Amino acid sequence: MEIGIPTILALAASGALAGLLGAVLGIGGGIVIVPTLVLLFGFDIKIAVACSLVSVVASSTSASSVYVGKGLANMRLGMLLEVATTLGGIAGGFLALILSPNLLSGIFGVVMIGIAIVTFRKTESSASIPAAAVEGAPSAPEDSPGYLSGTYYDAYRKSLIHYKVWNIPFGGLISFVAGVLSGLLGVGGGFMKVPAMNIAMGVPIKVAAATSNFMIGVTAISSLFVYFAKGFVYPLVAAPVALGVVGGALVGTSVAQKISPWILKKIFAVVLVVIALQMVLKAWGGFHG
Amino acid sequence: MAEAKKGFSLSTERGLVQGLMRGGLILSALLMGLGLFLHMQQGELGLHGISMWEIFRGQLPLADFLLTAGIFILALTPAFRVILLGFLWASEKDWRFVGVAVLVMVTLILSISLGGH
Repeated sequence: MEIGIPTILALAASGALAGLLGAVLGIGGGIVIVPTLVLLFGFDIKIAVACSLVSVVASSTSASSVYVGKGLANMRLGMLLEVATTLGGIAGGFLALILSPNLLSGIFGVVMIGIAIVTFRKTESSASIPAAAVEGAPSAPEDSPGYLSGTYYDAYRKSLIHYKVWNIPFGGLISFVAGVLSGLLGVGGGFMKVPAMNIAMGVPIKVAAATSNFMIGVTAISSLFVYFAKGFVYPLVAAPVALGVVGGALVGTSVAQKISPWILKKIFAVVLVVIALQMVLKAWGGFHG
Repeated sequence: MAEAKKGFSLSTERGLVQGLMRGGLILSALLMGLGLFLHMQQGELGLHGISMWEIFRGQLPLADFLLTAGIFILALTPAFRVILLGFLWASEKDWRFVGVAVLVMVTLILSISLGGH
């Protein structure tokens, strides 16, 4: 099978759109890339998942390098939870290799509907800080040996916020499940990790989002290596999509500061449901076709 | 009592991690971009999956080699970040988190070796 230069450009444009939406809406590009490659370009879902994982690594590396520089990502917490996500990623990668493409498409569609609901219900929570977090100077040394607590500068409140992290076993469990979904479906899993860290572990939302992004690259490669070793990575598909995602994310990061994503989120959630239903119908047709 | 921080300063730590990630991303983007350019120039646009092990066999055409190597370097960048943080925490004598970094690396090596079988 051959593709033309217009197809390569269309793949890059799809990646750019996914990167742009990802940066503006705070979601991973995988949820857009996989259905685009399956429904629009007609690729097998396992090839789409492998290519999506390459893009997820690219966008996570690009975004988290910024978050690390700003001191938003809690690197020790991220590394601790990576133990669980990498194990989940390997399990998900192998599970995907043995499941039928139709079943995978069906699971993807159902997970997409879940993400759409979370996106639709999400409120403007940029200032969401757990009650236990305190403003002002930290009482314990942040980012110090053995500590999981941290401090960051909150531009919205114009002050330093100090927080402590608790409920690590729960965070590990959620991270493992997010890792399985990442390996199975080629998504980042941030939609699970961010609320879990924020609500159950006492991590402020901005730090939770930055730490989740920091972790996603390692989570994705744990399953990407499985796909890559088995020959499911099509470089001529993965490379233009990944380059597009990085370009789109760069534009999106600057645009995101200037626009309110509230209406965009609602529209995007509805679009996600429509695409999810198409994925489920495709899976249904495959089972009964 | 606040413990004095040993090893590198926090800003140096963050700068090193940031530099490694940016460097990996830029190098992989350059290789992928060059590989794509060569593919389009030569008009060889056949779709096929390539295993990462083929990079080391030396039999890939240049355009495919560049594309695959770009993706491989991109995939290795987060793994190198884990190793770097392990060394930085070792310089702080934070052995608990050095252990965590080693555990993550062992899991990643497991995924590479399991993928090969």
